[in-house]
Amino acid sequence: MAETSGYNFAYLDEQTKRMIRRALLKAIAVPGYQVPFASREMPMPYGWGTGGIQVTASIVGRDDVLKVIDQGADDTTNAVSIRKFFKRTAGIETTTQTHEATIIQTRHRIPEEDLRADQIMVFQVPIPEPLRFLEPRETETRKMHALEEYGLMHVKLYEDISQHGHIATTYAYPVAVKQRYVMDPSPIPKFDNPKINRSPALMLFGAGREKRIYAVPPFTDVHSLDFEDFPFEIQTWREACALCGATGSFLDEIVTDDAGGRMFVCSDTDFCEKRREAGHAGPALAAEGAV
Amino acid sequence: MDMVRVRGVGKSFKLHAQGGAEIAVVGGVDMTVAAGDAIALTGASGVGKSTLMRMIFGNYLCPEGEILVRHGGCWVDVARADPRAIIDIRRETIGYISQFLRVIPRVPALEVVAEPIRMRGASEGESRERASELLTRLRIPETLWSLSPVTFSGGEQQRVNIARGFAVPYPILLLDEPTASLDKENRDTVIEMIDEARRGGTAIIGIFHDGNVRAAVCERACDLTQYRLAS
Amino acid sequence: MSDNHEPLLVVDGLSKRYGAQLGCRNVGFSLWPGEVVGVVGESGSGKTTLLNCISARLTPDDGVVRYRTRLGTLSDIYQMSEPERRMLMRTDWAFVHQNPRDGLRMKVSAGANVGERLMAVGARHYGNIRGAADDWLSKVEIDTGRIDDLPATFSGGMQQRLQIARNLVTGPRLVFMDEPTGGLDVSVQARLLDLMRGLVGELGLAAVIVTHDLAVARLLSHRLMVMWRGEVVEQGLTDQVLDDPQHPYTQLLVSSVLQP
Repeated sequence: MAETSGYNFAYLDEQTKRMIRRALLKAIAVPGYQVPFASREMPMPYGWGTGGIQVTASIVGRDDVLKVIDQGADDTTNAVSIRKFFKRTAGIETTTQTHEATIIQTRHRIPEEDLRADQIMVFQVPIPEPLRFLEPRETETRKMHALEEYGLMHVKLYEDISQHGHIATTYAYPVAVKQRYVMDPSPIPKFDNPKINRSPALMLFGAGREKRIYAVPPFTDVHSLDFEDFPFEIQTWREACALCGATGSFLDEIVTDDAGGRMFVCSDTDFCEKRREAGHAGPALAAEGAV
Repeated sequence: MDMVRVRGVGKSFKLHAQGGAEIAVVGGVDMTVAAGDAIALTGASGVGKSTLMRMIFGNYLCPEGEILVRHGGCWVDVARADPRAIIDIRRETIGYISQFLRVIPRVPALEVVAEPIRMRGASEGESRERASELLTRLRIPETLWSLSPVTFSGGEQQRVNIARGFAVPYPILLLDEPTASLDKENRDTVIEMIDEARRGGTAIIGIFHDGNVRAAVCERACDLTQYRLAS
Repeated sequence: MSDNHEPLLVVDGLSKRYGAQLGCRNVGFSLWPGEVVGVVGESGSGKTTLLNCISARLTPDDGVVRYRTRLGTLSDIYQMSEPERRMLMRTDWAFVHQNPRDGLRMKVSAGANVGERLMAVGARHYGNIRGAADDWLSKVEIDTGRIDDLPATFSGGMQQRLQIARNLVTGPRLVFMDEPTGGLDVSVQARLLDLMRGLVGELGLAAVIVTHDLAVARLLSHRLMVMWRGEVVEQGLTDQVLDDPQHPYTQLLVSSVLQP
């Protein structure tokens, strides 16, 4: 698709990109630390991924291949809109295939497929501050990060265990980056937390409304917070993916009819499709005898 | 051996609410008490007996003269000692049995008596045992030991007070009307206890309204009338 | 363990103004381990200002506040780095607010409130943290069955006792209390005072207690400072100041107390 004229490459002016890249470098230099940045007015409202879009716009080059997912799927409304946005303003190649992408912008999931060192993940973040719900004052949370006062974070986990018998947080599960900063990994399911630990890919996080950028450089230690006697655990399912039969991926529950019928399907659409192409079939497809 | 040396002690009260009226009580008091001595302070009501006793205990300030007390092998002037030193002296050297028990709600009688023993480092068990002995001797029924003296009769409260005063073997003991609300039986017991302490080497200064008790306990008297200041 | 002959806190020439209003002026005193100092006075006397200045909550205009840290050296608390000071306030010191809501996290359970300071200094075993919280709840006479309840469901007296447990769990050496029994019913006060007396004695705490209630001062403190219009007008042994008051204001204060 041809670039729409009248816009700078990838929409943002070069000065803004420079400012954001500086913020990104700072963020990479101090893993997990929230760097304030001068978030710009974007042609979509706050809450629709403006942070992630600004990060992507600042790092994208003519030869990049962009994949955009929302809840793991490439075909949801927001993923489609954002992909179209970059096609129009940067004219770059886009893809739905994880292994083809050089930049992957995401909301709420990390792809199942292992990432490579030449890939960059860009996360859309609503609330960057992991302590916000316990300590509403920005002045206090900044001090707590600066002074490494994270006792309050464990208070939240303690409460979970006392109320539910286990740590009930299932997404946006707080992590400690390089044994120093506590970070909110964005609202990805805790299932995806281990993927951030020592990943070959660079992970960048952008919060547009809150005006913060943070990062996890490649091969950085990232550990989910827990207690010695209540260690961190990821979600598991009894079922396999109804379509491709995968047992180790994150499954979405889909309601199929009014009678309570439902099936579990891989949230990562690209991953599921690849498996089906390779000949794997889940119970739904096997039953139909179709491929 | 001398334990208390009162030299030229004087006291007056300035009542600011009464336009600064000054009430002179005593002046130039001289008195010496040795270990094993029991001396009674005598004189008419208001002459300053309790006042002098409170000054020796550090409860009232002493603006004139000196009050020397033998504490830990040295002489300490209570009139000039700082608060921490006085607390120390009260823990180790001087016991004071006032006229009334200052009752703290919720603290059981046994604990009231055991506290001073425990403050000197004794274990829970030891302090309670000693406290039990004293309460038994003063005929406080065991059923009352776990209750706060708030609801006790005047006589019972006074006996708890006395037990507390004798809990620790102080080298110096100040007694202000210790037998005032007691019946004959208990009065005799207290006289016994005072006498035992005296024979054990305690220096005793007491105020006794009852002439018989005074005679039974003290060989000497110090009449404060001679030191009274005209008001 | 520091020598008990050395003071724990030394305050010198402390002054604080609020514009033209005087907070407190030229206050000086020392506090030894295991000692309780009461500060009495009526509203506007400067006692709360004094307490806030010596507990690092309010920077004074003049004077020095020195605290003997666990290393044994007397350090000026306002010359310390902020991390050092905050660490002190979380471990060695405790502050009991008049209104327990100011000293508690109302949105987390009683157990979490008590466990927070432990977690703040690195405790990472849920079972142990809960066990310690349980212990402390019984120490302050709160039914341990309420460990998972929110403080908002507690009575005022219980909230105050919870605040005390939350503060004492890390074994502080110095406790600051601001009208700890203010606003509580008399019977509730009696229970709280009894608890405080016991804990101070058992744990050998040093404390500075601000109160307008002379009975509380007499019960809890060894030494007393009387404040009036921002200045200390009289100080000394508690029973001596209350039984033989010298300053006109002290005499007024003492004679104004109703005897039931």
